[in-house]
Amino acid sequence: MRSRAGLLAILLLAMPLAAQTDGGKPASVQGTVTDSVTGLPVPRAHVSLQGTSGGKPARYGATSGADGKFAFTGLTPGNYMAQADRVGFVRSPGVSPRDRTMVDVKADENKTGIEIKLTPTGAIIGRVVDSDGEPVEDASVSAQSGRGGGSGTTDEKGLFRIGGLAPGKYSVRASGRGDMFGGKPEIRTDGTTEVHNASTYYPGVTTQKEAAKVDVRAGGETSGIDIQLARVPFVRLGGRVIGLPGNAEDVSVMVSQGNGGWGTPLKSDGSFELWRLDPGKYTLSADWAAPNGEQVHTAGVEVEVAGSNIENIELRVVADSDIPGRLEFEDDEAKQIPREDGPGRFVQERMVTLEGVNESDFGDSAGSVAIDADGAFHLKKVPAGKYRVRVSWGTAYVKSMRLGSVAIDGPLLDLSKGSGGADLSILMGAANGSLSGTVQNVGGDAAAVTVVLTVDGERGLDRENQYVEPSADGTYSFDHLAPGNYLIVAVPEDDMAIQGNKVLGFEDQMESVKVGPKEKVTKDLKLRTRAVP
Amino acid sequence: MRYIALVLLACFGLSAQQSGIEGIAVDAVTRQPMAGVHITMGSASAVGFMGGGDADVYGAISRQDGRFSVTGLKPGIYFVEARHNGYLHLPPRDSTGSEDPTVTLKPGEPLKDYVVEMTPHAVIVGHVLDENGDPVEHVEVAAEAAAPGAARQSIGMAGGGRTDDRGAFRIVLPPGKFYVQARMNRGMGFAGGMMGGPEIRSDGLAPPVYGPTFYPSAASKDKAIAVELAPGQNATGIDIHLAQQRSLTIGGTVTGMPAGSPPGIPAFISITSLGENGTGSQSAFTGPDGKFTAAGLSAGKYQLRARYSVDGAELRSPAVEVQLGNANETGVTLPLVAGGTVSGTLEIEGKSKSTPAEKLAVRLESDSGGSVAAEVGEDGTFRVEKVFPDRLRLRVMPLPENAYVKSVKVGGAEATDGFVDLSHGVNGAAIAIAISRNGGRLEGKVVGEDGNPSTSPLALVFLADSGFAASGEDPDERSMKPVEAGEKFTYSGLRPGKYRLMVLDPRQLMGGRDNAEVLKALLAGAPEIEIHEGDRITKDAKITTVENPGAK
Repeated sequence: MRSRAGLLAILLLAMPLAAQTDGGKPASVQGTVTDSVTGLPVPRAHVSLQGTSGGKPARYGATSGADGKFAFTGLTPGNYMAQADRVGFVRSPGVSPRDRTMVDVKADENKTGIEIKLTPTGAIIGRVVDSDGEPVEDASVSAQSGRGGGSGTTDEKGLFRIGGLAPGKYSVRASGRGDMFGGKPEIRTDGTTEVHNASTYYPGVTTQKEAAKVDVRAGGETSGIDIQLARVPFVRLGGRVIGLPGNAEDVSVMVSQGNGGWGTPLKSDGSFELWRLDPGKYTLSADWAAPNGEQVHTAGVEVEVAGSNIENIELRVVADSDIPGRLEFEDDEAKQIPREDGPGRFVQERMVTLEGVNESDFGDSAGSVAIDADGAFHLKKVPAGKYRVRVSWGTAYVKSMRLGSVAIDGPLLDLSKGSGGADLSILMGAANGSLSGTVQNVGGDAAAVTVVLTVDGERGLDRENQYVEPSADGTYSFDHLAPGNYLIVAVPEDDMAIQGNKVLGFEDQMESVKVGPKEKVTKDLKLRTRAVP
Repeated sequence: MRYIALVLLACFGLSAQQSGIEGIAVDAVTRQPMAGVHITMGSASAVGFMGGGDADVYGAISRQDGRFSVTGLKPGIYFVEARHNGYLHLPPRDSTGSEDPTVTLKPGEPLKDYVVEMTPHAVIVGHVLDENGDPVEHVEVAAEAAAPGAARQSIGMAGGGRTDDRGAFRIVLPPGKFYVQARMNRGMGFAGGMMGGPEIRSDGLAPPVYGPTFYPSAASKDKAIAVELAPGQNATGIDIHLAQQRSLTIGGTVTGMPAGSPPGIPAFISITSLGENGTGSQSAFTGPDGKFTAAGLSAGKYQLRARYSVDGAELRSPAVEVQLGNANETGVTLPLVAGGTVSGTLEIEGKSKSTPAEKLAVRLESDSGGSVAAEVGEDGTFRVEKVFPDRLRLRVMPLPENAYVKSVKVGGAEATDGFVDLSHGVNGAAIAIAISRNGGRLEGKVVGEDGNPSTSPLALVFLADSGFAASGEDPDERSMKPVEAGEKFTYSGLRPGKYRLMVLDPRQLMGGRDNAEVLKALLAGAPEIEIHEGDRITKDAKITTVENPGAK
């Protein structure tokens, strides 16, 4: 699998190569753990050496003393990654190679002077008030950056603190208590009106795109991050579920956005209503338990909540599809299925997968099935929906498909109305393009840069995105690219928020690149800085 | 027991006369009127938990003089809630001393001068520290009342939090006396490290293992210090020094890995802790020789299971229980087996001729959360595939009307309580299920203490079989039914046996006491009914009064 998994695969599985020859008298390693900001020793940090020795994985642990010093004895020779962790510091090993210390140990060697630097975490402090300026108690506040995040809750003065954050740029979002689960607006008879506050990003906007970034420094507290919740109108979503089987029980209508979702029970007349959704895009579907206990759900319908009610939404029940299919190959090169299609990534078996692709989806896949030696496969019980067709190896790509008599360009399969009993044939082409170059004005810290490659056009889903870190000399490369149009940009690693196929804040600085079959494209990039909003 | 609160039914007055409420919000300590208190009211006939859609919620905001009003309400029983920064709304106590968060609005008689008391909340602030005085993050800290009635709970306010990067926690509470406990989150554990074993240490120390600890540093309540909170009090410096426990390991071998499997793919072992030391699981992996070690465990009971999957095939081991005392456990064997097939027959006794062709399914559920099911064919046979050795709960879904599972036999021996024990092997297992359509039926009306129709408009009926009382489970929807005054309760599909029938006024159950315990005690004293096959029994049930130990 490509995209983000690729980045993780490269970082986590780039374990050091196999060891020195065996024959070892035990070796030892000594060093100090220091605070990367103050230079002072860090006591009682947990230090570990992890790597391979004689072809086998090995892990050693120790604790740094009051003077920050640590010692390992009785080590077998090998190549190890040294890392440390302690509360109050960025969790090891961090995302980039600069946070890691590699130690190569030979038999009977006593290596000294190994320094492990730990970066202290920072915090964000602020206050949440509602649209009338009153402090909000028990509001949830979360901070997100490309590298992670944290959350906190406000006290009765509306004050919050989010600690344990790695240095970087964060978007900060606050939600009032009880806002997520919507009921009808309150009925008021005293002349007051109920106010509905949306989840709001610092300083007071409702979309992540407009959010101002909060800079967190190592070991520092960024204060004054005050957020005023935005008032939005109460919006009603109403509709019906059509075609429910008679034995469906406990039907609820699920609303989802990204990774979160909630539901409301379907009324006995088959209708539903939802209130209090914040502005944004959502997927709605109906969900129920079949008599054999399995959960069934309808295809998702996408809606966008702006300022007005949305009525007459129809959620149709479409029976699952049974899809026999076959893989075909454009040429001999496309037929090649490697045993290993990336450093440390093994292709275990040949499978085809359908991944759900509604923008604000549960992230469902219709499952994977094996492809037999003749290239045939059989997808069973595929729920109605929109899918991206994927195979389990990365050296070929889905060039086109045919569902019955309908030709489809690319890998997106729309089964929202079912497959109509048709067969699916998938034409695979060799993904043999590549794109490489040098990132300029990197300023010596190549490790703090990420090159982001996304697919241009309406097929630009975030799971197609690929990320690579340039080497120390600034060079980068992407291999096994399918022919097509791409967007590329080099951005600071700690300011990378992705939405679909765009890096937020850098949309206009992404450059187009076309890669043809078998083409090796060269493109040099400049490290971009964010356009200040 | 919050779900009881949410599944109440109310009786609406037949009269079209409206009602309403008018009153004043005050600070419970100073008795001064409070402005800006947000009052909400919902009818006690709630429609499900989700809160979406149907239920009407009425609201009001108290003015500068503290007064508020809601008019145009249909008569009935309503929940009253109120919110203001820095305060909790604790439900008022009724004449018996129980907390009652409801008001009853009578037709044509709006409530006047209703007092909404807001209690300034108290806060406990502290840190969780290890033996060196260093902060420990991500620890769950919870406060519990030091004795029944020692604190008043408010529905909806959480009584706990997690420590942050400074080891700090902050808990908002009503006034009262509390024990504060740091609960170690076992789910964070990666006991076996990567591939093959815990880390090797040359300093002779093992990473410390902590048990749940009460403030200030007690492993159990008898040495704990209770924190006493007055309304509005900020108790700071409540630092909990974690009590260290002996760090133990469980080691063993996973057998049955298929020959020729790709090297470098380990089996995965889950270690779930059972019992009061918290639930939660850790994981470990096997080394190339199939051996594993799970480290960093405290004394207690654990359940281990192994899993291995490659090329789409999955192997699992049955659950093995290990009791850790004060020594490491070695030599645990987890044998992997492939999923097997269980075949069986399902017979419906007393099948009437015009049976609708409803597809029945047999489902086998494991307590590790997985389940497999199979449809029963027209000839009454079924085959369930991918069943792994385990103790499995058997269900038939859907049960036809008034039917119950009369008997389940595995290989000729009767299975008890709906559980089929296949821990020693699956293949060749044959299950014979007999369903009877002649279950017992029980119905009746709710009556008051004096035998006349009940004056309480809300009632909860409990019917528990002898197995329930012994099982210690919480009552669920199968045994508990809400009933409106004047309506009957009905149970059907009852398995012949002895039952206890009890009715409670649900308002007496609120107030945050340990309701599960109270219920079990009451059920044990409730009248017993014997049900035989095919019985149709009509029996009125009297409301039982609940004694309130916290009543003042």
